Amino acid sequence: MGRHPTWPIHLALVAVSFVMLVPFYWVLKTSVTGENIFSYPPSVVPRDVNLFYYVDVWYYIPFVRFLFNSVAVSAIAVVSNVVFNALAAYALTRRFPGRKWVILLFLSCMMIPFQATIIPAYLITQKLGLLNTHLGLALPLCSTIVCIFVYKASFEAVPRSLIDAARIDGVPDWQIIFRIMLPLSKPAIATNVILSFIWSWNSFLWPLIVTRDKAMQTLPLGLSTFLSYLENTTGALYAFCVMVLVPGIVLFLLAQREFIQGLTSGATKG
Amino acid sequence: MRRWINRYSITFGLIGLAVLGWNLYVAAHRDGLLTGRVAAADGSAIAGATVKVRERTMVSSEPRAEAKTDAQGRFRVEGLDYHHLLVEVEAQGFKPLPRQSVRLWFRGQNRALEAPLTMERAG
Repeated sequence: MGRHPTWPIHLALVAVSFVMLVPFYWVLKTSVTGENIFSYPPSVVPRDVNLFYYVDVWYYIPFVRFLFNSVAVSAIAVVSNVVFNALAAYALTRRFPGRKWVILLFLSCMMIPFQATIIPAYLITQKLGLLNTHLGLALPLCSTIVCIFVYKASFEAVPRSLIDAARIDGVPDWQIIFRIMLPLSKPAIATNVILSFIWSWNSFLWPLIVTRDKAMQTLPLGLSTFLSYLENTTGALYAFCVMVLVPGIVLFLLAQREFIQGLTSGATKG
Repeated sequence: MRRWINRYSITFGLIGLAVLGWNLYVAAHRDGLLTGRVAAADGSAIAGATVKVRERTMVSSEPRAEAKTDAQGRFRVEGLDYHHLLVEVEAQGFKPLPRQSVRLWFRGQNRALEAPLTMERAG
């Protein structure tokens, strides 16, 4: 018996990849041609290619300031996710009364969309005096439940005997987390970094609500600048989209091996 | 030393070098000069033509500078700290030249227009 041919699977994968990549191609193509989205028939092959729409984006909005804000907010979100989620995940790997209820509570909270909690989140941020600050912009993304469970799966794969040995040697819990658990959970760290970075980088609604002045706006808010009724700003709009997307794509491509390991670790655990 | 050489340090190092190189290039070519030549359709120079330069913003254009051509039809406009210019030319006895778009890679880039701005005789 010969092996089943793999080409049908590859053909299907190529077709699916094509469908998924078409929107990215269209954004990239429009960013270098400025072709109006209403032009008919639309051209599949780019014509009159130029990069000047990127120059327009750089100068029409305070791009460097927006970039700094986005980087600052993402850095806060990434660092706090890596630290706080590790603490929460470690606690969930310990035995304590009501542990299952806490896990159930966490899982049920994942089903509540952020839009539904945005008013309490705003009021808390206001009480803390963090409106219109980088910390306030990052606050709702400082710990995310999905990432806690990524850590939890990774921590549960660490041999119990290792933790028991550390305990016998009198190592406190916080040192067990930072000196034993985290060095053994690099894929989970990478997953936390990538997910928290992408979520904070692309966040639109929360920054829209908590920022008061233009100097505190993040990159996704700059998109509204290019929505003009008077002029055809299609090229600049799409060039801006590419400029916002590129850092996330670069980060993902750099850390994709760890990212995939992090998402799949614990997947085969019984 | 070897442990510091990985895909992260190489990628971000190359990005840093590219940014540094680009900024050095910009610093060396950023005087805001626009030079060129105005000629009639038969190739003869047009002296005393008025070259007006406007800055193209996202939704409008603003007049920024103007200059006159010399006896050889050459002009030189200075202090253009903009990245998208619109050039228009007027000369007595010639039809006004429609606005020509001049795109620059950075604000204040020095630019010499290779092809002459060609005007049609009026009437």
